Amino acid sequence: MSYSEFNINDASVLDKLKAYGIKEDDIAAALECDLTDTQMYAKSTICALSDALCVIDNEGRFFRKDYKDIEDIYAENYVSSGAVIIKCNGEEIPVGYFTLTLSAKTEGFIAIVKKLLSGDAANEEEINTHNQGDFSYINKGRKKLFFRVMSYVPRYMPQLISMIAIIIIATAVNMVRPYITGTILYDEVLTKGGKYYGQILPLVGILVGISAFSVLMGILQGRIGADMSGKIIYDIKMEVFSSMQKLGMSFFTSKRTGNLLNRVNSDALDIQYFLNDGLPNFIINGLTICCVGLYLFIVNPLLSVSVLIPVPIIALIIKKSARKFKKLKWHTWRRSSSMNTVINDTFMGIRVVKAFGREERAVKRFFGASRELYENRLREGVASAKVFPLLSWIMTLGGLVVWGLGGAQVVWGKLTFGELMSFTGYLSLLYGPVNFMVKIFDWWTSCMNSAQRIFEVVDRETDVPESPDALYTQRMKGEVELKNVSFSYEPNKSVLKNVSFKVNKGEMIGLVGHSGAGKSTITNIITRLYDVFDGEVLIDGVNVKNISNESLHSNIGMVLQETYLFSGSIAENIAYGKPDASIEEIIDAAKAAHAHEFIVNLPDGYDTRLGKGGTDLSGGEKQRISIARAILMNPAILIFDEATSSLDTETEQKIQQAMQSLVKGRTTIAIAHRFSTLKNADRLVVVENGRIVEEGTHEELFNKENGVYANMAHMQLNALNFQGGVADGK
Amino acid sequence: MENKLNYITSDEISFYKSDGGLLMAKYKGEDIGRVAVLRMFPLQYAEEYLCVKVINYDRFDKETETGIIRDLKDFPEDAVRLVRAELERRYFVPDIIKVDEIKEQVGHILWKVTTNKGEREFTLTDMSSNIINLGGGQLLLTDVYGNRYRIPDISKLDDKTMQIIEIWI
Repeated sequence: MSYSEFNINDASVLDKLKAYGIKEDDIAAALECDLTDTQMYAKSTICALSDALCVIDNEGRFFRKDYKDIEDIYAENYVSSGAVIIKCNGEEIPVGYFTLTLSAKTEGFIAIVKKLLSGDAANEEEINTHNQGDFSYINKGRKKLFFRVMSYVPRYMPQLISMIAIIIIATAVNMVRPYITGTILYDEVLTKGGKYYGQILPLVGILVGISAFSVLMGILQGRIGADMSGKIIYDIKMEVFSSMQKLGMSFFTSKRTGNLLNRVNSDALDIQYFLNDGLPNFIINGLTICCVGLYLFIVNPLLSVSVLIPVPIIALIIKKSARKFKKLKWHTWRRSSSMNTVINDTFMGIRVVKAFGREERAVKRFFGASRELYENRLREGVASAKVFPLLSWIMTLGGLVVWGLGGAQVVWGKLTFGELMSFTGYLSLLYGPVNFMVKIFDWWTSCMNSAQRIFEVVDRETDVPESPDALYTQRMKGEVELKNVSFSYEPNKSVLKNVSFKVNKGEMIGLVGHSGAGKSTITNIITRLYDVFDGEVLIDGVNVKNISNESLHSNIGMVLQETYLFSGSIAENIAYGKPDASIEEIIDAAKAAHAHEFIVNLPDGYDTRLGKGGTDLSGGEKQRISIARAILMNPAILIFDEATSSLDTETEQKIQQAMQSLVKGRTTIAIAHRFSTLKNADRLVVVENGRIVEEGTHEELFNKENGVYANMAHMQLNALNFQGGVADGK
Repeated sequence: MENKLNYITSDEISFYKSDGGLLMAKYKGEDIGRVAVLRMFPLQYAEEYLCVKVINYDRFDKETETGIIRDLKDFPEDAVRLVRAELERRYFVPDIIKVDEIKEQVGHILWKVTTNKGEREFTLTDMSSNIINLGGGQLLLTDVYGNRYRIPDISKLDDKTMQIIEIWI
């Protein structure tokens, strides 16, 4: 028996272990720690044998402890590291230190050792660890990403081909212009004896035609480009958004996820800009540089070389200053966002500001932030005032070189005046593209960064996968059971420990406990927002991992503490769980939830718009709407997270009545705070520090001497008496 | 327990090490067992305002605070040595002495560094929140796994590293 993830990869460690009579086959699992007991980066190895734990450190020191002497093993977390600690004869001994890079792995190793301590060997599949994210994609590099972005393009082949054709035609037409305004105009039209001497009108006509043609081509290209990149971006956004919806809760709560909205919006926009503007311009400018360069060299090699002298200098200045401008822009952006924070902070917290009389300080903070922004803008302005005149001066110099050298050649008769004019015309065609080419790399980089962030989401696998042969049940009976469930959101930070309880069909249980005890976590794992690490969650005797998501969601209803109402009408919100509900069903549900009365009194009734710019409902009203939502959905199992905030007696009563019509005939798991709810429950389960400490009816537990529930309940009663409130728990 | 700030004086508490190498303490003559020493202002004060807590093996029980050490320098040498070792353990944040190699790749910065704790490779992402300027030329970096690293003096960084990270600071 061995665990593939927990092998020793270092032969020298195996050699050292041999000296202590330990062969590779004896090792069930090994954890290679990356810190020493003096907190230096170095490897020490903890090995789990069949009967003992042993440690060999970087200096070859050896330590061994038989399992029979070990009472427990656990990890202790510090700021940016952790320790594996064993407990022997009441004493705690650290056996290894690790950085956070290894925290998920350590968790798995400890789970294995725990199984060995208790005498049974676990299968590899049973050892779950937190997914800390896979960062191997970083090394795949930008080229791969670029091809992946480009892989969206072929779906729009016709648009792409016509766009490239237009670009080539437009570029070609543009290239003719300097020839006409130079050579033809001066040498053939304005010079006596020229081929078209005096035919000014046709020439102007041709020029007008050309410019009209290129404007037309520009419009066409813009249209096709916008259409194509719009569709690509639509595809990418849809892919990101739907991938996100498939992921488990942990993705949305993880710190590393960052700003989700940003990913769907600005990252996708970045790619769009690049595909729409960046890529076509890259082709146009690349073509222009090649063709113009080639032409100039053929026409007049000497002049061309002299023309190219300032180009590298210009490129260098652009490249150097681009970095500086990027930095300045970024700093300005940071300052302006911190100024926005100050504004936001002050206005969102205006009541606090006023209550504490800190208006002056708010003004000072704003003044400080705004001044910093101003100074940064100034720096940006000064910098650009320095660089751009310098650039244009160098360009002018380049032009003067051409005039000088070219003028001399005209005088010597080696060049006509018209040719010189054409030449300078072509020259001016060159600067724009060079400027663009210098900047495109940064553009490309930021586009690839966005693409990388987007594909990271698209590629991410859900941590609550649906099993391929998942069970589909139209209607569950509603029996819920937790069997020895352990769970943690982060590695080595247990939230639930060995939790077991059963809820019979149609029963209502109340989960009670202090905040942070693990009540919400229990409801999270029943609905499979997260998967448990150890133990099982069974509904009607089937592990939730083997039930299809669809049947899980259609059979479990939730009324949450923080009711979220989506933008839309009240009717739509009630029908959220059952979009095809009839108007009669919606009204029935609202009536059962005691929401109907206040809804009809609203000027827009059931059509009242909620959300942004819509009507604001009170907490009690929102909760009744969410109860109506759950009633309409008619789930077999109901999870009810009672609001902690107190409501006035009448509203409270209405909600109680609403709840009663909701609970009827369903299995209900309520996170309860109010006595009325607690008394209505068939059974209470008291949770403390991730464990179940008491179970029984309200009466049983209330009268239990020194019981956790009794203490809590009495404290609450005292508080109510003190406030002169009516305590219905007496 | 009083709900008031309680400064511990050097004659009220004495520290010792358990056989397993963990920090233990006697407070007002009573052996209070294993303790943790926590920095209350880890970014501002390394050895002042230290909170001393009793750790129970059963980590689900509430830890109780014994009191606060106002300034470690008022304590005897022995205690200073033991508490320092404990702080080292809990606040493992290596100082980056030299950047051996740095690469920017698709929104990540890959570092190969020499720290005062040895050599290390790590990856940084989401730079605007994971590179924190602590002021006084100090930077705090947090890698993709949450490991922290300190750059004690920005001015000593090489040009290439500076070029890559300067926009974030």
